[in-house]
Amino acid sequence: MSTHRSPLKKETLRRRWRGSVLLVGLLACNQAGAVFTFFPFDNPRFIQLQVGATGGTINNVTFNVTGANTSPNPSPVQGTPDASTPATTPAGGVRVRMRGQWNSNNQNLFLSVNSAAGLACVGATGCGSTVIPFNTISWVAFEKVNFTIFDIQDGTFNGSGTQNLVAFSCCSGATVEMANTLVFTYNNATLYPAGRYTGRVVFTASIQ
Amino acid sequence: MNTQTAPARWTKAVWALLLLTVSALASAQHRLDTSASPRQQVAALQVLDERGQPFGSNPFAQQANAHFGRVEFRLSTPAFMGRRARIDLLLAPQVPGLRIASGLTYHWRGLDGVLSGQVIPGQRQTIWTGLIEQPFTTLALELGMRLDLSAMGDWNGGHFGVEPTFELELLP
Repeated sequence: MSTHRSPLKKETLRRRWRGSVLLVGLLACNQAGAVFTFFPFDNPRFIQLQVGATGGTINNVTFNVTGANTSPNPSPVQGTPDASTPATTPAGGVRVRMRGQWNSNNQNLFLSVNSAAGLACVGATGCGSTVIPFNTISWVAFEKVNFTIFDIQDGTFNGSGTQNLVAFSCCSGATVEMANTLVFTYNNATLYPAGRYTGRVVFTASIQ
Repeated sequence: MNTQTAPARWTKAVWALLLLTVSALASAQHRLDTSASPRQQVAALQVLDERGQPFGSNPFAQQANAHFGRVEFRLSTPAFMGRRARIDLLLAPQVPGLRIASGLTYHWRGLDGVLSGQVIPGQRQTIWTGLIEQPFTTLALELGMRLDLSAMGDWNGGHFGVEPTFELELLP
């Protein structure tokens, strides 16, 4: 049996070889292309604070001091949040939430409250120009965790412009949220002229 | 007694190698080109938080649920025409900004014969099985993405997203 191959057959073999290599190359070629599915997610360094309801709603907490609270002996009066205040656990509180978020390194977070203005007498309600200082109102904080620096503790407004409630340094590149429900009580230790008093405390959160 | 010449043995060896290679390729997964898809950048139509409220207006959101609606992926399949095949959807294990893979779920409802399913980064899911009949195989999904914000790591803002890839495996 002849095993001789002509130059033409050799050339044909080479072509088959090249063609086969090309075929393998085509089959082995991993093509790419990509479809990116996304949504905008802006996450700069920020801090957020929510006291009671969201948005610009200002919640009122009412202390209704009746005769039964003054005689024969004065007794503290627990506040009652208005209907626009989100429900809390326990009931009858105002939830304070602070959330900080940043990309790297530790940050210092602060929460303070301004209660300097006091509770001023509402005109024509019989109490004249009397102002009840906010240091008559205290609170019990709930939802506290073991790491006390991350929570508002039980306390009393001190009537100052900047009363620190929370201050901590935290967490390289993270999101931190603290939340406590505060149930307020008017101590009713001083007998003020009967009438209607209103005042506002302002909470401020900061990141430094 | 071996009566073959060296060129003949060489020819048989080459063809054997080619058959082995083609056989190996036939059982391998082939990444498919999606560049012919109608859209290369698909933005979410709607992003809601865990309570179904707009994600962007809730700074305390713990979850983002992005809805993309119908999304079509046009896969290049000319090399596999006339063959039965299975196509899987995959997510890469690493997603920029994501610290914990399980914090992201990519889910879809299959349309026009596509299988429904979901994956997290690093996983694959079969999405279609059948005969490749066209140079381009279009898969239509009603697509969604759920992101737990607690799973995010360093992130400087911008567009958060993923690029799903598709791999084809020939079937006997």
